[in-house]
Amino acid sequence: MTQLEGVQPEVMPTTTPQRTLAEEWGMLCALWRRDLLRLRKEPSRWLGLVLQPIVFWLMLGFGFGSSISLPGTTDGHYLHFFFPGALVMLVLFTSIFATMSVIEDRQSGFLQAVLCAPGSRASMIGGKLLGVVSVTLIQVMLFLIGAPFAGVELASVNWLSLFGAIVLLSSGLTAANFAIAWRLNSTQAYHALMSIALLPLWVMSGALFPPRAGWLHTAMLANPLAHGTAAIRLSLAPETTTLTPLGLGASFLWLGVFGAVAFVFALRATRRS
Amino acid sequence: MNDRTANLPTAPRDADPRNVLLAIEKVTFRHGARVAIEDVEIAIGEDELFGLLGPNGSGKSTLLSLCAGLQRPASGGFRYRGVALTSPDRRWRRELSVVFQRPSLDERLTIWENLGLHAQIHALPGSWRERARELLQLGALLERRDEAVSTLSGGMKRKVDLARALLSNPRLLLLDEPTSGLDERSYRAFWEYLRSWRTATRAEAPITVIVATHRSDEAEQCDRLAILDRGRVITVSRPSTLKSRVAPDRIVLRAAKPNELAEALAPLALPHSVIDGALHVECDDGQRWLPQVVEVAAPCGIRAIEVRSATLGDVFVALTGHALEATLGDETAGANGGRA
Repeated sequence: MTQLEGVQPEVMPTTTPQRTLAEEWGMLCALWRRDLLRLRKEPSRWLGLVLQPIVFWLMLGFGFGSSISLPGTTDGHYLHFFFPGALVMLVLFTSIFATMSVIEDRQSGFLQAVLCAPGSRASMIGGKLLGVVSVTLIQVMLFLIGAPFAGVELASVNWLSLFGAIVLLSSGLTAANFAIAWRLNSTQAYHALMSIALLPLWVMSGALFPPRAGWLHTAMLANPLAHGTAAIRLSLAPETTTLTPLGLGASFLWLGVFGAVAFVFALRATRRS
Repeated sequence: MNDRTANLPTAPRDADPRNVLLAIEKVTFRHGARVAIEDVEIAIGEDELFGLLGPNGSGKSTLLSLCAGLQRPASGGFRYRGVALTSPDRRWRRELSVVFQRPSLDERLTIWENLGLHAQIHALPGSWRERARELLQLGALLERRDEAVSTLSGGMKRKVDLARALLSNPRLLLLDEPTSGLDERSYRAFWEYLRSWRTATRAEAPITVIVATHRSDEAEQCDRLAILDRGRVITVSRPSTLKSRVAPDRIVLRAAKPNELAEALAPLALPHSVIDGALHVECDDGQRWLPQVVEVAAPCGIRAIEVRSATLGDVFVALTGHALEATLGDETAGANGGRA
């Protein structure tokens, strides 16, 4: 081949660790900032995601009231029992809603341009996770205004553990949803898949009923949402250990493993295209 | 590889440029079992406006996405300034920008917010703002910088997307059918915008452009072209050289029965072919031949007649046997081979 006979003496520009770091940080921050900018542009859509769990919480809470036996709770009222479950619902819905944009972004070309930039795909996913987690935390804080009405004693809440559990659960779910959304071409298909896969996981997470013996208990142990519900429940009320399949430490461990595995899946999904 | 393409004559290629910026070396890519790109070899020179001309499905976009590192070739590779590229190479991605068929913009955000995000993604220094202002000024978009992208016209969105791609000061700009769906005015505005920016920045940092297109007029403004068909490069040459290989004028006749029209024109001994239901008569001087063609063709019932210069679309038909506007696989659009 003779094509390179006329190649210029100038070679590929050199790189420095500082520049590489700046590009990774830039990618991470840009995608993080984008989700926050979108939140500012569409507050009503995101507010709807807060209101939905509140409506569910109030309807089911007052609907069931004290008619269900809930051993281990202080007063056995369903409004109190369901509060952590509604919180998990908020985290889940926000993650589903936010990652749906991955499909739109791939079709519109936004993510194609991001993939052509110098930053890595890990930073791209990381930026998206930070964006979704930030939006989730803002919504959770709004939701927690209702905590005193759910019998939560604010003084006894382990806030660090609570927000740690929400961050871990939101990151893991977003990474998993990102991996799924990356492979799909339509938001309808994504929505259908989420309804089939994630809603049953939420129902079986201990959000609606406490863990039972037998296969249900085993299913809960394999369900990352169950560990998210458990970690949130125990952070809000440390004495409710009979309502969770595992303790706080074990739940955190499982959430961490779930997040790491989901992140690897998301990374593999983006590397395939 | 299909038989029809395999039997095509090998067209001569122009010599490669002296200052090669990007060399595509025997690149092959498969979509599953189907070969999308086969043994493509092209050398693109510094500061060149290089075109990839071919119909939908000819492999133009796939080749651009391979150049951009979005997909990996099954075999072959790329050299940039003589250095073999490993995919994904961060240094390479710093040098290039891509404008895709659909704008890479967040429609809900403003023009300025979009540019800010892309400046951050590329870790550009604070001077990006000055550059962004210049880009928007040139595109007459500065006053609308705080408007949401969703409120802009299709032509304006393309210009903002081009500004987005130029913001990172790329040395190589890949354009994948950047004007598809635009009206004539927006099409011209887009190219005028790019031309002005390249002229303004040439002394400081020349921008090499590779544009994938199926439009003859878009391809004609390129310095050189690769004609692609079914994933293969048929030829690489200057537009003027390519056009010199076909008769300079065309008389295009539309009639209810174009094949009967073709038979009626046989006594004139002019090369002709039926493409998309119209009879294309090749000649050296359309105005001179027109009266004779009309006289012979009139009894067949002419519905429309047009005299025009040969285009690269005509060159494509001559080289491949089918129309440039046809989507590959749609054989009905091809010429019927009724050459005199």
